[in-house]
Amino acid sequence: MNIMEMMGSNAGLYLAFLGSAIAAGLAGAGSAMGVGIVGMAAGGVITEDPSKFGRTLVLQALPGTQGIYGLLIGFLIWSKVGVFGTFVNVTFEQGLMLLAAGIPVGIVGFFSAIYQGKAAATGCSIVAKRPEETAKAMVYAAMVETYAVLSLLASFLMLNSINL
Amino acid sequence: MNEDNYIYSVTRIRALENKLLDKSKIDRMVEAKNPEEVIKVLYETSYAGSVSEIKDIGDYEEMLSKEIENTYKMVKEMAPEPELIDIFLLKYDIHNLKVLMKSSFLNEDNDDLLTNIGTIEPVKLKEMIREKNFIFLDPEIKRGLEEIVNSFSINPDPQVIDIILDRCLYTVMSQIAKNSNNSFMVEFVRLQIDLININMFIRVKAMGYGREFLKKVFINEGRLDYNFFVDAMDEPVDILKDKLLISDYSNVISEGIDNYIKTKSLMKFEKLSDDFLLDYTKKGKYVAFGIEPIVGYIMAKENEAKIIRIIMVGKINNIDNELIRERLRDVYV
Amino acid sequence: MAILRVNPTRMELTRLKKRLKTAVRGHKLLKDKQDELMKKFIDLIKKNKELRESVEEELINAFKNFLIARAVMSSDIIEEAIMYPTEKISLELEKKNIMSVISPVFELIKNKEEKEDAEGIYPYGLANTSGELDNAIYYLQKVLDRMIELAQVEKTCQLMADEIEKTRRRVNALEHVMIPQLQETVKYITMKLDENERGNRVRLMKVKELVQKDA
Repeated sequence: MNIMEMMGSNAGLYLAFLGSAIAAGLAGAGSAMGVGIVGMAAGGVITEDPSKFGRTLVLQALPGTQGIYGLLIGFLIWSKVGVFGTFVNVTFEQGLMLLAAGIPVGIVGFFSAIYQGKAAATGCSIVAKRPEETAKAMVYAAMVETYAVLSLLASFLMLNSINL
Repeated sequence: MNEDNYIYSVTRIRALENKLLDKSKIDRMVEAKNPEEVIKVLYETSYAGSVSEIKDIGDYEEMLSKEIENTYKMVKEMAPEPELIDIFLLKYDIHNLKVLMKSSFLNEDNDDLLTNIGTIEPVKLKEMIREKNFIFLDPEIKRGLEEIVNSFSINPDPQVIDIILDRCLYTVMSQIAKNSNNSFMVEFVRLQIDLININMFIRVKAMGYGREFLKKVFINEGRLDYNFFVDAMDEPVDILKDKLLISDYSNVISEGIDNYIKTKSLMKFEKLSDDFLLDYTKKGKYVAFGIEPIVGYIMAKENEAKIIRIIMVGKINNIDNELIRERLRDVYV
Repeated sequence: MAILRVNPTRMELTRLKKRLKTAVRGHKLLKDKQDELMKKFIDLIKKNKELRESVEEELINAFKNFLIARAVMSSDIIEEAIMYPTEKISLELEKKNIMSVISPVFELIKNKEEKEDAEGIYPYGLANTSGELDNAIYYLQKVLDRMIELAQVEKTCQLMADEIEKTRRRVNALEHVMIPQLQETVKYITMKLDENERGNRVRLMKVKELVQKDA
């Protein structure tokens, strides 16, 4: 229990912060990459046809949600441990649970955002070639969202079950 | 090469594909009563800009080469692997080299035949040819040019220039493709070479030349090797049909050769070859991100130029609409 | 028919008779020449027609192929392909006299450049050119000799037609103008002379009568 001793009595709190960092950080990073990918694709379309700005913007926004989900879980963890008021005493076990609760939305958010970005980039091709089929392009990209939402649900339920 | 790098260029290509000529526009051009009407149809397309510079109907050829030049310039700018685009541009360099070599042997000036589309400026090429200094060129081409200079001093045969430079062209093309490790491009070059070899084989037979000559013109980088053709040299052309029955080319071969035997004209075969290559690049339509859509777009654009040229030549010479249609290549879109 | 304005003297008559004889003989000769020319001309025209038809057919073939080649290859490429000819040809001109028609005789001289392995007539590579171009070049090559021959025959025909026309005009002039005129004049002079003769005789008879009466 060397690490335990090193971290002292605040070990639980550290772990909770790590959990929220994973949730908000990874999901946010994923979203950033996803949005970036769609941005590149949208740039290609706009170079040739600036009138398609609105449609491509919607597609670009899609991979951005994972970052919001991550931040949401982060906030919930922070409010549990009392970042916004006075710190609650978190035991080591509770800390581990909070860490675990942050992981699903972080990891799933990271990957789903990137792949949603790619799907949406392909969607930009559809917007370029067949503007009337934009809705379908969005549906394909939105399918990826399902798993981001599921991971959000998983994180949320886990978080709810922790009573400090 | 990471396909992410293609995201920008491919979506841009998708937007550009919308501006390619569609079947109805081409039909209208074929139905046009005179060349002026064809130009009028072009005014409604992405060609409007370049068409407006046409003063005389005969200028359409310059308009087309300008359009091709612009296409390559744009594609090369946005392609993540511009060296792959050189596979398409090389043939223009080789064309310039042929013109310059022949001009230098003839002591003539034929600068109006040079094109700006290639990878090296014609002015620089001219300088190199004048000084017979080829070290800045691809080693393969350098060797080819030196071979020409040597053989011409013994036996001045203009055909040798073309034959050697053509071989250099396809050798360098397949080298670039292989170095890129892009299997799509490697295959693309090999298909081209095979079709050219088959075409040359038939023509060599028709001209009545033997194996020696075939060996001289043969391009080695294809899937079918020299021995394949040598075995068929003494047989009637039909034999290719059986020999290539199970290959990818069976359609091109059987229809093309049937037509050749009937009419003694390779027109159909050449049209089918073009269509076959275009078909291959049409795969680009279903690949999300990669070089394929870009290649597809280049081929579509070159094909468009061919279509417009056929229609214009047809209209200027009062050829029947049906004959023009027969000669038109498939459309990419 | 008008007659020549000449003095109706005996000397003139002899001169005219001589001229008439020459004219008749000239007419006969010219007529013969005209017939012979016509015969030759008709043969030549027949040959010309045959040649022209076959040359035209082959040229149509060549141009059709060339047009297709032109349509599928860009102008730069096609011009590059044929800019360096495999052989240089020159034309030698000689003159031949057919029945006083000076007609040209063309001779085609091909100075193929010295080559050990004759590559034939195609000056371009095969990889980037269309097969139609082969056909076009082949037909054009084949038709060249006959085109030269056609030019020769056609020019001869033209010159011959001119000559026939000229001869015909001469024959006609002799037949319908010169000879009748001369004949008329001869007749007129003879008549005039006879008239004079008769006048003289009457005068003489009259004088004789007067002399007899006085005596």
